[in-house]
Amino acid sequence: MLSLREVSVAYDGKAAVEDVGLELADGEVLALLGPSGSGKSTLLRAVAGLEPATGEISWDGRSLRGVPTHKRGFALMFQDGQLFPHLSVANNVAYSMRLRRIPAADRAKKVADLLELVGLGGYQDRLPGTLSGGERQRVALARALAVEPRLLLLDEPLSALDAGLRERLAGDLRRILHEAGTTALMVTHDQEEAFAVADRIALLRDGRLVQEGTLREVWAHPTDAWAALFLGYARVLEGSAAYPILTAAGFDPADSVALRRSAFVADPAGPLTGTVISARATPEQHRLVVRLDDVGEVDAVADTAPAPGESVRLRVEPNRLAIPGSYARKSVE
Amino acid sequence: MSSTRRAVSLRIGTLVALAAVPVAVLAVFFVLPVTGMVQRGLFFGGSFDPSVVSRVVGRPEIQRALWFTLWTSGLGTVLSVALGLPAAFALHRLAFPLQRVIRAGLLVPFVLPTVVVGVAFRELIGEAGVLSGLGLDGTPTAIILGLVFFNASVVIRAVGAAWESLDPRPGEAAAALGASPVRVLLTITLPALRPAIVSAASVVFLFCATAFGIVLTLGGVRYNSIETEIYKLTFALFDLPGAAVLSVLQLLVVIGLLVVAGRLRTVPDPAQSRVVVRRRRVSLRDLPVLLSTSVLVLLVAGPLLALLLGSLRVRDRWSLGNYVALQTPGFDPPLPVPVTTALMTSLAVAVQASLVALALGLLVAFAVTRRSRTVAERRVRAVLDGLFMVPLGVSAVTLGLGLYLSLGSGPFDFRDEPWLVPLAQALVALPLVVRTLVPVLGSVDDRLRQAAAGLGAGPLRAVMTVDLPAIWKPLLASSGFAFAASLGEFGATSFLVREERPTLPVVILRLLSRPGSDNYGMALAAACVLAAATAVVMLLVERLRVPSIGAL
Repeated sequence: MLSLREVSVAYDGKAAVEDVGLELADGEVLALLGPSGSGKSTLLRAVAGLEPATGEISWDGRSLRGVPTHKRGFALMFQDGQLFPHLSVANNVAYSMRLRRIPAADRAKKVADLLELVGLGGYQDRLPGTLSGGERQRVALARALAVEPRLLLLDEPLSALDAGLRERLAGDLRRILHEAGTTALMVTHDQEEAFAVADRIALLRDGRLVQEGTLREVWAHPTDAWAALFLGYARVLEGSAAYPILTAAGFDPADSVALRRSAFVADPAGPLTGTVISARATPEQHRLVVRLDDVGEVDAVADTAPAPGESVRLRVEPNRLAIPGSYARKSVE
Repeated sequence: MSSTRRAVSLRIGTLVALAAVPVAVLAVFFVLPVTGMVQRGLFFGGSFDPSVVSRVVGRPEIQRALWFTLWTSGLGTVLSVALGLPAAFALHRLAFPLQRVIRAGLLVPFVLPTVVVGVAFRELIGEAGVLSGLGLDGTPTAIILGLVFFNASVVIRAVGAAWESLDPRPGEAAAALGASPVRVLLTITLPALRPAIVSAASVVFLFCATAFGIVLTLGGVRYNSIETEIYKLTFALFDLPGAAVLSVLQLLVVIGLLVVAGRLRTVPDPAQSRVVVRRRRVSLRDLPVLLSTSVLVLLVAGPLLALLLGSLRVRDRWSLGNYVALQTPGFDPPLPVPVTTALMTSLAVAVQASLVALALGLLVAFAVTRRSRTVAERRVRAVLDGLFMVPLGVSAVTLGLGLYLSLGSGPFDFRDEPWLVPLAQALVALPLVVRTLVPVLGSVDDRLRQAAAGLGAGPLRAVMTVDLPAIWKPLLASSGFAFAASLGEFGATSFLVREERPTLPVVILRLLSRPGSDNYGMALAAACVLAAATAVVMLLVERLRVPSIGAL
């Protein structure tokens, strides 16, 4: 089990990470989510032993202070894989096994198994230069898993890939990590990636931990408006604008409400009335922007497309909105 | 169709136009003298006699010189790399106080005149030196130390530049996979640096094998390399055929080495990422590296300090007398001009030489780096690139003697022209300029030029917008290099310089060859002034922080 207590990292006196405390149980996958510059990669590097940090980083209760990177038993995988360009795929994957003087026959078998696991069976003799971006990331993953690491550190593992591939590989990554029972800490700026791969999420902003919990907890109870927007909520309405919506959803009054794109659905029997500002077709639904009286503009979905300027009635989907900060005060839902 | 043909001929035309002047200059003032000199020797009596070659190569003292050159150069190269690599790491990947000064200081030897180095080493290990007890004077050890003194800076330059921008992440990934620091160095870092190391080592071997002043001043009469053997055959024995055969031999080795180095320099993965790396503070584990760097600093600083201290002694007392005497023509027999005048001459000549080298180097660099469309075109550019490296490996003695002999008569009677010395020095400095500019221009993405053209910029305008911002700093740096190299140039200059306008290195050697401690003291002081002038230029270059000079 990895635990961080009051971990800080400073560059030239400027704090990049401040007082972060986290725990990661064996077999769990935790995503460190934050915008660029939030210190998430720095925190990962500190865990790997690549950045000098203050505070306490420990594994199974034993402090890692003074333990150099290569003796921590963690494996690290970078955004662009960082395969060793002069080594073949098999030799890349076998790199750590060579270090541990595992016999050649066992090595070859393990390499074949790992390449099979990441979906690249038979790629042993290829050179990294001949692989596509997705294939390179898979090899990097196999190479990291070959260590049988106590903890796998993933630094934006999918960010360098294009959208379709990223989605597919995210699913694979989750399956592979769970099949191997690997404990993993993943850094990403992409909330969808975090939700696709991780069991738990830690949200970082300006070097500080903003929120931490299971996917469900974090998603249902963003800690504030910024967190809600970063997690993928479309809008956050505050003050008097929030009130009519909360009432329509049957919630207690609160200071603000975070809305997903599908929080409102066009419904002739709905309690709210507004004017359509714009309508746009997507493969699944029509997406509307509607001006509600006393509220302002909100997003909504509809099965048929009303023309701009038409009046439309909306109902609220209570499970598609969240009250920022509510978790601290009291659980709604 | 015709428009493509016109575009092709336009591109070839540009190539020819760019390369014409430098090639012509190289042909008249380098190829002609060198071949003329070789011809003089090989075609002794009008026809080529192969038995001359075998007779020369068969002589025991020639074979001794060949073997001596080979093993001292090899050992000198190995030691230069062994001491240069840790220093390159310390100076380019770590952060510690006085780093800049040390970095600039370690680069000074590279452009220091061999005369100065010879004098400095004598002051340290010679009969009256501080370390005379070691008995190094006139031994191969002294020669090898001298070679390392000179060439470790080449390794630092070349490998340091590559190391500085080397992506640390593959190494970090390896460390996270369980590789110890030594293991990371052996399996990841050194393979990535291999092109830079090989290229530096081959250049160092070249410099070692053609080192003239070092072997002459430190080897005494007992040890001869090919270079000093050529010198001895020419001036002591008047054996021009022997000297010519050796020159050709040396030239062939140099060209062969350049070809091999060019092959090895091609990076297997040119898309290797270059990044800006935050320098790490020193910690206890850097101790071996720092110790090794300190050894190098001592090796470089020791002789220079000895030189400085020696110059401040007059008749066993501290005095500035030697420096005061620099304003006079010196003692019996007096020099044609005061030493300060020689310094002014040297500075003026160096300015002219660096301007010429810069102009020629720019033309060559542009000609070589324009994008090639056909294999033949690329070959032509590659050959041009290599051609202007050759002066690096041909001994300045051969060049100077060849110029002296071939320009004295016939259509090229330039021997008394005042521009001959700057031109010869420019040719010696030209490879430095070309090697500094070519990598920079080569690394400018051609698509930027295309983008500029697409926005309506003409070819000249595109160069101004895209290339100029990239190369103005390297341009300044390379002119600094050319200036420093020209300040210290001695081999070729000594043949061409006119009696009434000697340069500083020439004056130093004259002072050294005269008897008397007054003359010797003045030589030490003059050597200090020359070293200081060179050091100042190098510090200015260092301030420019041009990363690519290392691509030598």
